[in-house]
Amino acid sequence: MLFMRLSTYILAILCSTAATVVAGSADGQEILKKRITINIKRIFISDALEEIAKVSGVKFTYNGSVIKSRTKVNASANLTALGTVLDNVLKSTPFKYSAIDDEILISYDGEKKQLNNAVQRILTGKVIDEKGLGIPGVSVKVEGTNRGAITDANGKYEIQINDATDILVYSYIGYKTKKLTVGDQNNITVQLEPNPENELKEVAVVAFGTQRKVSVVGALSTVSVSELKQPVSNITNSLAGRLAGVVAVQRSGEPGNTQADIWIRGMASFSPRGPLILVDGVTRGDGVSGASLINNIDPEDIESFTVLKDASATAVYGVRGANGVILIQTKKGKVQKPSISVNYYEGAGSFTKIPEMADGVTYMNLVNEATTTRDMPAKYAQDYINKTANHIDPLLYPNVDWFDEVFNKYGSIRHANVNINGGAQLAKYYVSAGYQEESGLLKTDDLAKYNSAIKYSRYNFTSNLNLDITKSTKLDLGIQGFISNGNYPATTSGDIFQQAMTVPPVEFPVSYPGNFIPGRSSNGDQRNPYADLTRRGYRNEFDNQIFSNIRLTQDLGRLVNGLSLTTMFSVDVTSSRNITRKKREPTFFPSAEQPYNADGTLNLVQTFTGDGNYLKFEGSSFQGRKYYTETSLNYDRSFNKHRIGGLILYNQEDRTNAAASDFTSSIPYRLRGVAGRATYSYNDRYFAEVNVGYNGSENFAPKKRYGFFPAFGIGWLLSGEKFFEPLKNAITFFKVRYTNGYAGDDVLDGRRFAYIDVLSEGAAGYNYGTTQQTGISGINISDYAVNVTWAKSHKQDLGFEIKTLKDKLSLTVDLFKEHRTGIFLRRGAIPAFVGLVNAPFGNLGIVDNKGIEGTLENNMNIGRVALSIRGTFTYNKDNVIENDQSPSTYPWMDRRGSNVLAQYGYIADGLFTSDQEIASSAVPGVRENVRPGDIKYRDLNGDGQINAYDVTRIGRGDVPAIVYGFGFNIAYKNFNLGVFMQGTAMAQRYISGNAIQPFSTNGGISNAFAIATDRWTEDSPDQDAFYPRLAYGDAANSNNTQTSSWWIKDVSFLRLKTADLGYTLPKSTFQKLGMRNARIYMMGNNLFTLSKFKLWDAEINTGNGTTYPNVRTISVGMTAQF
Amino acid sequence: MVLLTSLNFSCKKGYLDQVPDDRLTLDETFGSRSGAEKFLANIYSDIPDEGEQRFAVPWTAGSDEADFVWGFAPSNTINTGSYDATSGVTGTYWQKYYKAIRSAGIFIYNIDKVPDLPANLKSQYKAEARALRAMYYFLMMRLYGPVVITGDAAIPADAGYEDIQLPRNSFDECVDYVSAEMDAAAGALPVTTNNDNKGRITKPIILAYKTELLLYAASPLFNGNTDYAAMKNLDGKQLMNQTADVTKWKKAADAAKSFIDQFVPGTFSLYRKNDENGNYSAYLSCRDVMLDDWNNEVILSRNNNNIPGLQYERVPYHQGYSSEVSASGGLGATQNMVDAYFTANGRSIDDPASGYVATNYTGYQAPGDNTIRGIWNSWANREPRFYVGITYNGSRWLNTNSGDVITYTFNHGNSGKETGGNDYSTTGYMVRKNVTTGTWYNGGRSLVMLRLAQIFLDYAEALNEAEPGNANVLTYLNMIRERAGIPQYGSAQLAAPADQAAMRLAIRKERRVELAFENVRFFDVRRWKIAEQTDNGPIYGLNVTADPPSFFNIVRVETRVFQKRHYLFPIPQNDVNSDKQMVQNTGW
Repeated sequence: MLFMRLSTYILAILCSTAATVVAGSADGQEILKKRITINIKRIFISDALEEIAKVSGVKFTYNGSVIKSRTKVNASANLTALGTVLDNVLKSTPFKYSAIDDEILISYDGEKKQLNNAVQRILTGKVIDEKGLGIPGVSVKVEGTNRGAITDANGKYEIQINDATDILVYSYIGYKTKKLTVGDQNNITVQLEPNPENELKEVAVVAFGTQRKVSVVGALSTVSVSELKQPVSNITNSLAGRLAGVVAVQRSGEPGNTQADIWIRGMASFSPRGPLILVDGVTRGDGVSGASLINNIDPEDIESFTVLKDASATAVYGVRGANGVILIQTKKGKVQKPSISVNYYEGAGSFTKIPEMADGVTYMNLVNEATTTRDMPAKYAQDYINKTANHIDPLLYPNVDWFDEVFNKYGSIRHANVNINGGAQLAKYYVSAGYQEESGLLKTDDLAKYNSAIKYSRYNFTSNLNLDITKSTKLDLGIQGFISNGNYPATTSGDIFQQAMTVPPVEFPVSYPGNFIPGRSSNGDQRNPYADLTRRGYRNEFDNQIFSNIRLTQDLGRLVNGLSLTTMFSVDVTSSRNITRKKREPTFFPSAEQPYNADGTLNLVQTFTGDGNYLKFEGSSFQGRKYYTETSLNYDRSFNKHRIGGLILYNQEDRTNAAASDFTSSIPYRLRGVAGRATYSYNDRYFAEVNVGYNGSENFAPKKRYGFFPAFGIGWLLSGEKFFEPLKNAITFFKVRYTNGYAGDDVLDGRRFAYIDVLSEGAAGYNYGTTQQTGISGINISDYAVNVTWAKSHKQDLGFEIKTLKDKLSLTVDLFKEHRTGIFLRRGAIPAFVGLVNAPFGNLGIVDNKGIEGTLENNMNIGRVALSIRGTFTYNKDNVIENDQSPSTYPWMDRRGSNVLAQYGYIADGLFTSDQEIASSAVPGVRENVRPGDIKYRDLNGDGQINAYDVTRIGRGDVPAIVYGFGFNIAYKNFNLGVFMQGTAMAQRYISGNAIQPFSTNGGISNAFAIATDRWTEDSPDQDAFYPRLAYGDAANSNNTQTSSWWIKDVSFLRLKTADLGYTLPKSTFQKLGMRNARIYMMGNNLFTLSKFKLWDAEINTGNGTTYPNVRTISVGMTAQF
Repeated sequence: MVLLTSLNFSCKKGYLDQVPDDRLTLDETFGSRSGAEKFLANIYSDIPDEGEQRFAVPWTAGSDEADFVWGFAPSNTINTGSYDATSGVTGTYWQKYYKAIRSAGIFIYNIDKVPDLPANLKSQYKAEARALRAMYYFLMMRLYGPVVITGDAAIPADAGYEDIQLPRNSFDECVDYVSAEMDAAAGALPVTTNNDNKGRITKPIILAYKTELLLYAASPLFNGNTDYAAMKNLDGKQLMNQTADVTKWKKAADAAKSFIDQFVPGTFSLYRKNDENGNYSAYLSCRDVMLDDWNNEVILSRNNNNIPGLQYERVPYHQGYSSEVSASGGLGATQNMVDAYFTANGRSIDDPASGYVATNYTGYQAPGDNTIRGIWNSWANREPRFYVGITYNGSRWLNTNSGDVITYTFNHGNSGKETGGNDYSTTGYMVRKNVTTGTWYNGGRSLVMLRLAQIFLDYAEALNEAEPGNANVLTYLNMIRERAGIPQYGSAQLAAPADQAAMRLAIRKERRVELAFENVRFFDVRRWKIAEQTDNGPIYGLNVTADPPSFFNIVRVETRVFQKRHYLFPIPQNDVNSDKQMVQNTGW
């Protein structure tokens, strides 16, 4: 394709050059009398002239308009004069000839055009929408002919015009068809008007199929594909703030481990429950492991992303529908010439925020403050501090910023995707290949003989094929797969961070000469973070997966009009292999008595033996296999103003862990069920729908196995009513919908076949005998049989859809309410003297959840600037009604009435100001350890003690109640700029541990944040200081490290999630290379974050900062279509 | 084809009826001898592993014997008195023992079904389970006082809440029940086992625990303790008897005497060991009674245990020495305990005749050492058990396989605070007892739970209360002293205690020293009701933040809290909240 065009182009240049060279002077009338013989039919004029030149030996000169002309001409002559031949040939063209010397000049004839209607030419133009943006895919046809064209990605088209009376017909779904007569124009830009009638034909993806958008009464939201294109390997990180109702937070930035936690409309269960995720109609995320199976889909292969939120939308999923459903459709082929898209970007990443640590001298001064102000001797002598400050001997007086030592400044990302999309009416295809690579920000050591650098790479491929076998039979085959490889240090990054926060900056240097690893503790505690990172070996994670599905659709219209049958079969294969090769080398420390030998070398003594200098092997693997099948009958037919639809579907699933290590887990996980739907609409104004799911779960006893989940929904398009006419100019579209129904949740945490007792052979055993060798392993019950069943969720949803400002502004608002009963919990109120190994499960929990969510979209033109704005907002409030907690001793201890993830602890009433105040207040633990500047707690029950009876709700937890996002796209000429902000609110985190309160664990030996200088001191007794009075050691800190509201921190944030600046190259530049569209862009991710929380990235999941932070990336890339 | 595949696939019958038929059931467990024995082994596993001092068992550092340097040790919760009915430390034992009690009930109910188990073993195993169940009740009673006797039949796992509203039994009911169960079990148990079965409950083991049970029942905490007058069930039942009954001491003394008559010296006797020259060595006898596996003094010893963990806490940091002699030294012996040891002439250090000197250095060759070393005077000329129990500054380490290691516990010493970081003794002494003379991280020996010396001391104590002046009191007390290598009461060097009270004091002192660091003191001070004195207030040690000479100054290490309510653990709050019949211990 490309080469064909290229050669034409080159040929044209050659021709015109040649023509110019041979141009000369002298009278040319003679040559017109030259007699030639020629016979050509329907060839381009330029080709015809060339042919004539060849047979006549006469040179022709002409310009580009002749070369470009797509007019075809005929010539039939037998020893006819050249002038006569040319008269005939040019008769139907806008060109004339004139003889100059011995050559002939062909030129444009303005008069001739006036005379002749039959002017063949290529007309170019553009189709724009009401906002002035080009519409791709518009069909442009010459009426009454089979000549036609389809607009490209920018809305541009080219079409051959044979006659000025030709009529062009522009048609596109959702827009009014437009016709116009060509006349003498060479370029026609057409603006299409949206067609409210056609809006009714827009289609939405719903459970087990599609539905006309206008008739949907369930709550669902969809995100446009281009929104998902971001420099992230994991699409789950693209969702927060872009879809109303989706609560998503990214908990780590480590390459290969970046999947977000997702909840639909917040939490309504006691343990994390992600949505059910389906890719092309097959379950590929089970709601427990959340998004795990879609993590590795290349975002570029996704056509649409739809979230089903209410019961009407999810009831058909029965026992699996309660936590919401995400439907992903991959891209399908279109009827068009093969279109190749290429996208490539490459960028650099750095951490959004690295914890800042105190430097060695500040650290030692703070330690001395912590000790001396509490009647302990100073830990560091002034001499020691001075030597450190003056860098006297960094081996003996080190000053190390461990975070600097383990981090690189930048990592890299790279992504490439090539896809081909095309096909004819009978066969369409989409084929794609992608590559993603991310390198981490942790250092490696050149001395290591192995590679412990963090690097994650992944190859994706997708192939979707749609065949029309007969006029009524269709076959679809889809395959998606990937192979990924992640390399990491043997010690997990979280562990390395933990060590970096544990080891003080002055404990020991990074390493000793001769590559001895420094360490002080004989049991290996206070590990050297740098050695942990670089000297402990490596870990390799290899994953691969193939999703496949084949679907057959038979139109049964011959039997019953509107009936069709679909059956689908799917096989998924997943496998992974983890290899760890690790070691722990001995550690050394200079002798206390004599740090240097006589020869000046360090006198190192071995402090910890380690387990040798060679790498040891550990491996694990997983293999998953899944079969899924569904068969359905669909019915859709309209009778006058009535329209009736129906669906009945049978499905079942069989999922096996092929590498299971015991029989029970090797038994396939199975589900089967039936789903049904009936829809009715009248005159596209009134809509009603009933959805039913009936399915079963192996987890429950036969009698409690199958569940029936009904839901109904009604909708009313007010703007379709007569009485709405007066308002129609202001509000063009107004729809109200309401749904009510049930969905279920059958997942038992870590338990299968709940109706069967489990005895474990792994229980503690005992040794008899004097040799210590006749040990017997133990058997004990590990879980009790219980006759439980699924949790049932009753959901209601009231939604409004409004469009105004001539459809430019649209607003969708949903109010939702959920009452979930029978949530699995282990019995809480069972006394321990019953002697159960663990409390049995029961359908005990009740949670209420309600909230509001909305989406606002606005598209407008300001002059030549096209601007679109989009915003979403989600708020939910969950409330524990019942949790089987035993009756509370005091009302404030009751956890009913709080949100699910609420945190409990003491209420901090500021810091003590005087000894008198301490003497008259209750304190936890030993009063003599408490000093002014320590945290004062509220004695809720007034018993003079601070203990478990003063524990109450102090925070709402780290899953935000509010998630929002907003952004805009601006296009001006060839430039476009897109910005998207994402934020959370009402999220809190309890921070704790050694990384928080300095010197509070490990006997006081811990690193300190730089923020440790913001503390209460006797000289500046600031009640608002970040830290209370410093203390050294566990006991001295025990008052301040109690779980209390002091340590509850607001982790809300607003972040510039993406910014994207692009420039579409002028068409002329690359068109001749065959590119239809080329764009270069620069893209930033997580560029900046606003948050009150300053210690680390507020989004990551850690209470002490020991998690691989999120990553900010800036990348440049290019897309092109051929 | 797709259609066919899916139809074929979906038409299988019983798609969801996959029963995991390899799933182990109770019937299968008791369908074979090996299954039943495994179930029994699991019941045995709840015999507490007292090697887990750091993480689980707070008895040593939670008494006035010792102190842990680490903040995470559960003993800190005990010492600061900051636990309550919701604390893990108070709930753990309640849950653990009741689980074992339930399992024992299931075992006793099912054991007769096992087809391939000989009848004599059925009877023996059943008695073992019964004995263990009784023992677990006793171990709970010494912590919580009156408990709930749940009966022989296990409460169903899915019992309704109304079916589990059980009241506590009175302490006397508990004692009667447990002692009857112990007697019943003893009747079906052998006196000894072969070497392959050491560790199984035998007749003397359960009778020794019965002696312990009756001793507790006679002790002031449980015998007429009016502090618990208000502790009554909803129906008015008094949970703790309100009048002291001296015959309870008699019962305890009789039980001890009966044990001695039956099993001493035939089965057990005090362990005695000679040195390499063939001379009796009190030091070696007292040291190795803990180390020599299943010696003739051991009544019950636990085979699986965390001996390496226990030794890790007791072996000093010893910076710069090989790993076999270097550990943490995090379990410090208190000055209070150091002072409790007698001097070599058998007297307390506050006895003017003891010759105790607390100042200056002296030259002294300690038992177990091979030479005279310069040490602080306080640690010279003490009784042999002192050198068994305490590692002090300047002492030679037990393991000399890679040369002599001298322990220094002052601030910059090889095991001092500054050197060890988080691994040092807060008192300047380390607990030394029950530590191997070999490599500390090797386990492979059993952990002594109960030995004959304790029964002798139980007997002397009970008899002194039941029949003051009975000659056996002094006889059995002196047997302990004789073995320990110190003068006996009533001998030429040392007068016998003058009266019952003096004798009581002498017995308590002897018990504190003989059974030091054996998880006895924690319970003794409670049952004697003296914990408000011993465990409340300052704990002393050396000044570990200094180098000599200030190091030798005795300073307060911490101030401990013990209030009246701390004599008994609280019943876990969840049980009190869930069970409306459950009355909480007074003060909680």
